[in-house]
Amino acid sequence: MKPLLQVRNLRKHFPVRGGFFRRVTGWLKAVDGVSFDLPRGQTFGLVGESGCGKSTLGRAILRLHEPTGGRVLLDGTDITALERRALTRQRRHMQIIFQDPYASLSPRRTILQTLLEPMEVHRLGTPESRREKVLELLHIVGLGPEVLHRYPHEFSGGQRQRIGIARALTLDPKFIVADEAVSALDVSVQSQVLNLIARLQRELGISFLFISHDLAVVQHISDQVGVMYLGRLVETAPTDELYRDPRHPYTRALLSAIPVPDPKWRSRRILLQGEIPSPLHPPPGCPFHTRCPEAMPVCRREMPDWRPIKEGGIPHRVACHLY
Amino acid sequence: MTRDRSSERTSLWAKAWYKFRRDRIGVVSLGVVALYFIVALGVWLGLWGQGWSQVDGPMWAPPGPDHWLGTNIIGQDIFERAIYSTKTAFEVGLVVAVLSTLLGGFFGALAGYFSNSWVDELILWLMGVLDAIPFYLFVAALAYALQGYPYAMHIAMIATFWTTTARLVRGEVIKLKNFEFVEAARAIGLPRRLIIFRHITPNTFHILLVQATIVFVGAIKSEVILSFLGLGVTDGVSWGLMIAESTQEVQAGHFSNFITASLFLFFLVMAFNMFADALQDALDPKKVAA
Amino acid sequence: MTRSGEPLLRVRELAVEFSTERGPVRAIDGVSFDVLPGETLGVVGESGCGKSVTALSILGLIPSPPGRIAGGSIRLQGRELVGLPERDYRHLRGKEVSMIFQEPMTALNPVLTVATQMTDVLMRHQGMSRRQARRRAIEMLELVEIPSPEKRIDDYPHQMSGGMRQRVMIAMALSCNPRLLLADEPTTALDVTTQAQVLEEMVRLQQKLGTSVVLVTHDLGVVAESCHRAVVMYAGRIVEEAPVEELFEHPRHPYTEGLLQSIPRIREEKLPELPTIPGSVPDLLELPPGCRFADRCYKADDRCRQQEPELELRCDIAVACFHPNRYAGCPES
Repeated sequence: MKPLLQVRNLRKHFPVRGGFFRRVTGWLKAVDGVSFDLPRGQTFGLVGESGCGKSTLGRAILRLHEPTGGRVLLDGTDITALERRALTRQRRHMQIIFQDPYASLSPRRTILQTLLEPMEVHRLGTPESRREKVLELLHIVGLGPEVLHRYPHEFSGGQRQRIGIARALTLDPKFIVADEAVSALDVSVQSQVLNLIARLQRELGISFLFISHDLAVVQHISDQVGVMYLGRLVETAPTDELYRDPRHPYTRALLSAIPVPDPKWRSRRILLQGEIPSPLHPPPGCPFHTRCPEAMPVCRREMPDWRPIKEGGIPHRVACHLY
Repeated sequence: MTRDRSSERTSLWAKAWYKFRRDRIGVVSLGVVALYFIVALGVWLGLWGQGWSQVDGPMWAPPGPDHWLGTNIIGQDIFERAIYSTKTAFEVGLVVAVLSTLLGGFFGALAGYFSNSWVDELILWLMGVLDAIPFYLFVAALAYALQGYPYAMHIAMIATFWTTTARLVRGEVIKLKNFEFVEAARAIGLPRRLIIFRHITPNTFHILLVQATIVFVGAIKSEVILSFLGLGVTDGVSWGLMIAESTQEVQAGHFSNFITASLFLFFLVMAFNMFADALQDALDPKKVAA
Repeated sequence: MTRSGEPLLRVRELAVEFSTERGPVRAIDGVSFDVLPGETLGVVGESGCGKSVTALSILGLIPSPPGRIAGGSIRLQGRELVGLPERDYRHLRGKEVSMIFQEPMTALNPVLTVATQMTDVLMRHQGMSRRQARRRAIEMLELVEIPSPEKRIDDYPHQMSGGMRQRVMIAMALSCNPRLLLADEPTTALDVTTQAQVLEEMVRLQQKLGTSVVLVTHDLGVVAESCHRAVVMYAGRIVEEAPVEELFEHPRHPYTEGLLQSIPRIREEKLPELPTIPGSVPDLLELPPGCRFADRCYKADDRCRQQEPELELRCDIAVACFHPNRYAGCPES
């Protein structure tokens, strides 16, 4: 069966302006040639550190940022080729859940207004059926009808995030981008919301692009994982395999850098030197070579191609000269 | 620290009102403004202040039971005139404040949402041009161009005052449009018109409200100066006209007209300014939304 | 095994109150703990549990109004800090106690160079000349492993990366050899790889200089990596205090237990469902009469709902619970 979402060589470059008359003085290559497939009803976990372009990638797929190049196919429809009106119609199939529960709900609109709006815009159902749907969705995310006429500022972070999830579900989308959807929440609430997302994926068959900086969170929720560094994917693999047998030196470093909640584990890590280079001036060759503990002369010159580690099903691929 | 997780159903406005009520100076100044407003309303409804143009006393009568604050150079009752002028002031203030706020809010929101596009450039250019013209020169030119049209002054004030509001709103909208709730609205497929006017502008209402009160005071003060210069109110009477006609009286040693008009103006402007400050504090989203 | 020696910091029954629209609220209530010389104490809990308020009150930085210290005592080397005049506090801050904040970009002044900011402190507290102070500042930057510190010292904060700025903050905080360092979520704003570097740095310096550290964080992983002891807070109260190994191995309080289980961690096998703590943190204005955790606790009974448990110390471990988990090794009651 064809995958639900196919991303091909997607690029998003932001112009950098400076000097007189704000001329374009350079390009920030936030996303630079990303390709992957997302099968129906599965979750693709996208990990990377801040500034690696993972959020931009999510928004470029939804065309909340206009991509610079490449293609996005959702269920066979080329999203990148749609004109405005057709794109608006397609929006009901793809939704997004945001990171900041304090900024993602319109502050002066009640929860009912917020949840009805998507259906009204797309003229789905009757006023009664919309209201029923809102109540049903609130029930799914674990909230009662008493919240309908309240305003966002009356809720806690976890509750707001549930409302944001309900809003994303109002249009019965096939695909949802969850951008750091649990990062701003406290641990005990975080696991509640994670379980909720996992359940939705199972029961409603929605495909997720789950973006996070937290490898542990991603492992729990994903079928496959992609690791991103300076605008590019450096490794993709089925979840179990990535965590059991990480190949790219960056993936390994990321995995070992996570603080482990177990004091007996202290200091068993690969410490990387330095920090992420500015995406404005990415290093030549492999973008990771400035910090890579295994860098070779070739890494400074040539950008590595994809090397297959394992094909078939969900492939395990790595962009590194070591393999 | 601790995040308020009130279970009461309170809108942000209700919270702002709660805060405002605890500001004693704000409440008193609102009371003063309300008193002036009732006076103006009464004039408008014909309840009082109707004898402002009658010449029914001697020239420069001293204050007394017939003429509470005396009469002016041609024997008109100063108190009546000052009362009637309150209506003139509110008329000018309200018309200018409402229209320039609407104009500023609208263009500011457009410029902010489409920042860095030609729409923004055009609006910024227009504001720059209007701001570059000296205010009194502009009014004089307009008054001359619209010879005899009683609202020349209003138009001139609206044309100059909306730019400040628009700049403030533009800045706020540029900040707001990067909030995730705006992206969420785009992700839903909401038309831009609704994103701007349903989701973004309601969050600038606190700026508009405060700005409207500031413009109101500015308009009243400008009216006085313009009327004094002969560019303002052409029919009726205003505090500015009273002060203008008092120049000869002051030279002759009669201060009643001058002092009355000045004090009426002073208390209204003071009260309104303090009200605007209190309003600003109460509506500050940083303090309210927490 | 009990801890011996005179504590550097002794906090007893500390309570901090804030006035809000809906009445006064106790952000922390009856918090007590000791920090020994050279020890790193972790203070963990979720947002709103009062961990940051605890740190700020030690430094006398509770914004007043609306906040005030409503009771209790904070003793640093025997000297009472509660009620200390602001002037004396200013002598203390930076010299005896210093603090690192979560967001280094806002804690550093953007219009001054690192050199100016670092030398000012040294000149004021240590009475150094400008030249001496500069030399010392460069030494400190070297110590936190900033490459070519003699050059970087003349940078403005925005010219540095996030991790670098946090190192500068640490260098600044340690430059006057304080006895106590308060670190409020020092690595939360950083990326994992940078966070790992900065944490290592802190642990290394703490061992080298013998400074006592109070590390406030929401991240149990950070506590496990860098602390000797930890205090777990919930809704303004301490629910458990224990040596870190003991806390992670044998959590006594059901909240600690639930918290440990619900951290997403990398596992051999994916679980069908992550363990969670049901419900959410109570509103501090409408606290239940008994144990504050009772509504979310799987062990709660009638007693828990009526009576608030006190923190009880046994074998170097303190728990505020009527039904703590029991483990072999320490004779219970």
